Amino acid sequence: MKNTLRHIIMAVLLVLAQGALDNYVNLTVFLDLSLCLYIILMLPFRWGTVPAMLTGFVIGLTVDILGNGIPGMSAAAMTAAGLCRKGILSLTGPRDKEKRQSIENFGIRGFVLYSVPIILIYLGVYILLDSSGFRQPGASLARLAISLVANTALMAFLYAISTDSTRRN
Amino acid sequence: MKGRSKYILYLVNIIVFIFLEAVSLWLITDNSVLQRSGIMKSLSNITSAFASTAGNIGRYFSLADVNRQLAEENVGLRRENDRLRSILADNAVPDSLQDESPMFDYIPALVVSNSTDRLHNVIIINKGLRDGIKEDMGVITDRGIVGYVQSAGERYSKVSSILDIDNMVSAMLLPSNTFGVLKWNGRSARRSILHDIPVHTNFAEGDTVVSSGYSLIYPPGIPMGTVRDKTLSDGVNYDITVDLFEEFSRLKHVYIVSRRDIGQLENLLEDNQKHEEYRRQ
Repeated sequence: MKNTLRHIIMAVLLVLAQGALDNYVNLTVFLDLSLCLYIILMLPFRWGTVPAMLTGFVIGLTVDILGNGIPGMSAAAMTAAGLCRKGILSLTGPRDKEKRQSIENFGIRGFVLYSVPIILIYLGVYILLDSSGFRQPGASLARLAISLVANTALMAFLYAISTDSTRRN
Repeated sequence: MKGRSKYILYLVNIIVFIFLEAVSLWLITDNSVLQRSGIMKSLSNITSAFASTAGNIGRYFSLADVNRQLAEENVGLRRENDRLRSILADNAVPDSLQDESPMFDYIPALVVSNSTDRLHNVIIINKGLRDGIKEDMGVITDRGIVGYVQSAGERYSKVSSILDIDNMVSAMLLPSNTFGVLKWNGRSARRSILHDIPVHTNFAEGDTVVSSGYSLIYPPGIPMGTVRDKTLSDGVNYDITVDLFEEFSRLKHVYIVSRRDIGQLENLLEDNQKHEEYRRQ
């Protein structure tokens, strides 16, 4: 119960932080940071694909609205991430049965291995929709590569601090 | 039996995925081109309330900068006022000829939220319907055109920035007075591209680009930027890269432009359109 409440609070904070990030931090058109993707990555292990997609859609739409984006862009990308989450989890997750109980037991290396394909799918859909055939493929690929590296580092950082605080508790 | 339930589960997953993606795509297509739908109007109030709270905190810490900017603008306006007074005194124009009211009216507003890192950038301002703001009004600063009012809520309005790959502004290259279309290419927030400048036009690096006044919503002669470089686009025209004067990432104060005779002009255009349709028949 305590753990669920902690996850909900973290999700709300991440959505608000994403809204603030989209509104007030303008870095470069080649970088898309998505704090909210962490919520999808950290969904409980037992959650199915449909709840993951619905959660992704709702969070994505909220982020679009709060961040003054085009409604539906993040929602579409987060839904795609939610669809692939379970499959990627079974492919990249640790073989050890004890470690498979919770994503928090993956360890940083296992988490990065699991998060990279999901981030790639999220960014692929998002950039494809945002570019809408306007951008040259080179610019879109550069945007994808830069965003992938930055988001992977960001997710690993969030994972490190959240699992560290869990262990302390 | 187990295989069948697995198959049904896959099917449900795919159906839910297609449904959610369809809803997302419907939202995107409904909002990315015209962006004036009813959804945007109702959502803008929620967005603005969130942006306003965070914006108030940010503005409090930047009051010193705001004061400095206002003071500089006041000095500029005072100088302009003095210059115009002296010209009027020199010409000694009779009072009866000076009572023509200006064509444009300006409503000052503060930027509540702003983006520069997307392909379709938007700005939220703290003036809305109750302040006399209407859709399609122009938004400017003393350093260039900012965009146009896309949707107006009761207290806040959403502005489509010129840093949007779908937006175009009619602009004029000085001193040759050549007209072109200024359009953002989605790369740098400090640069835009002036299209359709004929190759025989004489110009040099550093020449000024101003608003042409051919648009119904922007006043003419607003300085927008300077020429940086040129590229030959289709053999007969240049595409000119323009360094914008306005620094969009630091945008705080804007003016909404209200044209007094907009109703008459729109009626004229409508009549002209009807006449064209009649001729075609």
